Amino acid sequence: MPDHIASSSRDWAEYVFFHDNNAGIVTEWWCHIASSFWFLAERNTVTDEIIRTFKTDELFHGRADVTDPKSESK
Amino acid sequence: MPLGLLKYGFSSKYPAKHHFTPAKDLKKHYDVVIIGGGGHGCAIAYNLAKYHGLHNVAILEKSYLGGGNTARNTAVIRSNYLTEAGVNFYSESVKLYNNLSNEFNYNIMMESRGQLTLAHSDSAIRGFRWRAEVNKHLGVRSELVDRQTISELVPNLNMSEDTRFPIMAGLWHADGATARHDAVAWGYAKGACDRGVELHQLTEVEDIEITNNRVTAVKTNRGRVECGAVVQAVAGASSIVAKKAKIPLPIHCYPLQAMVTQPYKPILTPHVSSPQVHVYVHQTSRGEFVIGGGSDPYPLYNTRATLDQRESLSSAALELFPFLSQARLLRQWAGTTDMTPDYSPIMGLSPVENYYLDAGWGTWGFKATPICGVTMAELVATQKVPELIRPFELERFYRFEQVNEAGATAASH
Ligand SMILES: Cc1cc2nc3c(=O)[nH]c(=O)nc-3n(C[C@H](O)[C@H](O)[C@H](O)COP(=O)(O)OP(=O)(O)OC[C@H]3O[C@@H](n4cnc5c(N)ncnc54)[C@H](O)[C@@H]3O)c2cc1C
Repeated sequence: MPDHIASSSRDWAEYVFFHDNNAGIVTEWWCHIASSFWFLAERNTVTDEIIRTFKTDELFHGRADVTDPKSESK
Repeated sequence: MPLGLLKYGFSSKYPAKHHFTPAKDLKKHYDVVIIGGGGHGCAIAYNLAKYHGLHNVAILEKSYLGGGNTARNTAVIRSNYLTEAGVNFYSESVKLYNNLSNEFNYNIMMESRGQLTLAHSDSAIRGFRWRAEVNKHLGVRSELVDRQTISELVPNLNMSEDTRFPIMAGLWHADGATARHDAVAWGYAKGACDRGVELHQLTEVEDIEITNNRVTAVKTNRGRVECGAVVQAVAGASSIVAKKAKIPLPIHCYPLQAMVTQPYKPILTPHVSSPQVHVYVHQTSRGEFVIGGGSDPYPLYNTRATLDQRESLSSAALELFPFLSQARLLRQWAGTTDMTPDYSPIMGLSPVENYYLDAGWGTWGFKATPICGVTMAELVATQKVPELIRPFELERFYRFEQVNEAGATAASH
């Protein structure tokens, strides 16, 4: 995600609208609706094959930093 | 008569002469190279040659003429959109369609049988009232109609109040129409080739050469071609081709599926669409029922047909037209659609000086074919962006000025 203070609105537009739209293998977030379980999947967007699914902790460790720099000084 | 037919069959003049001459070798240089030989690419070439005196033009098509989404769409033509930019643009296109057979001297089988969109909720009625007012204000025939009028327009529609989503009202668009999609591509291609344009099929653009922010040449599987300007009109391949020119696009590709039944006697006059149950149905002049709906649920570059979609389209179509329960399906197919975040196209200038974009046609681009031809050709020939397409420029996304075209969404096309 672009830095929410320092980024220009152009950077934001790129982040919000301009994605890869790859024809090939992509890694995506999926959600199992019945259990609300979020996981990752590698999928081929040309052949429609799901190559593998895996838990998020293979790629992500710890919590995302969501502190607002403005509120820190208070 | 049978004798005459036999004579014709054996005569040397049979089969009738080709619509246009197949192109020979690629030239070294073209003033304009158009990537993509669908309806849009051919319409742009036609207008360049006929109205702007540009004849040294090549259409490069990786597969065959009109074999992309032009061959796969359900041929709905209408202009009852919601935004001013959208209504003005699409209604110009409908006007051009009405005269297209004359323009070509070639029958595109245009049939203006109207379009009825169904409301099954209060909020849908509110939306339709809004659309009808915008449409009327801009000169498009569009009105809110009650259940009585709906039964008169479509006597065999299921008006029961015992269904899950009873029909409450409708948006009647008398300008709604269909045309033979292949004939549109063929008519434009023939008219273009008659005026010196070269159509090269089985010619795939593999790379794009750029120097000093100008395209100088394209590399194809049949060799390198220099060019004065390039227009890309490749629908489902928009992101892939634009990437070769290092232009990022705000597009995601999703399959859109449709299916058709065997032919039956004429029984359904207008096109009927329901955004609520996600289906639209019309009967072609051949008698087949064409059934379409919403896009697939996740992005994909693939034109496979799925059982899921067949089931959901069938059950929705049966809810509207129970008499179809005995109908037999003939075909089901899909196209890769280039969806934009605001359901409006991306047309006009690109960050590369002499490279023009005709993309983001998603599930709604067939109806725009004639007006794209006119406006894109004008842009390429004069370098001035026509007012009609200015709202659709790529730059709008960087300024957060999307053209939110709710009238184009889901099953309402
Ligand atoms: C099932 C379905 C139903 C639809 N229904 C409707 C409808 O009812 N009404 C409506 O208005 N719209 C509808 N659409 C949308 C409409 O079909 C498209 O928006 C429209 O046909 C786009 O036309 P085009 O000429 O831009 O693209 P296409 O006809 O797809 O032509 C693009 C061409 O580019 C070629 N190409 C791609 N990459 C390259 C390359 N690298 N080099 C050379 N050539 C290349 C392709 O082979 C293709 O022939 C529907 C679409 C689908 C899939």
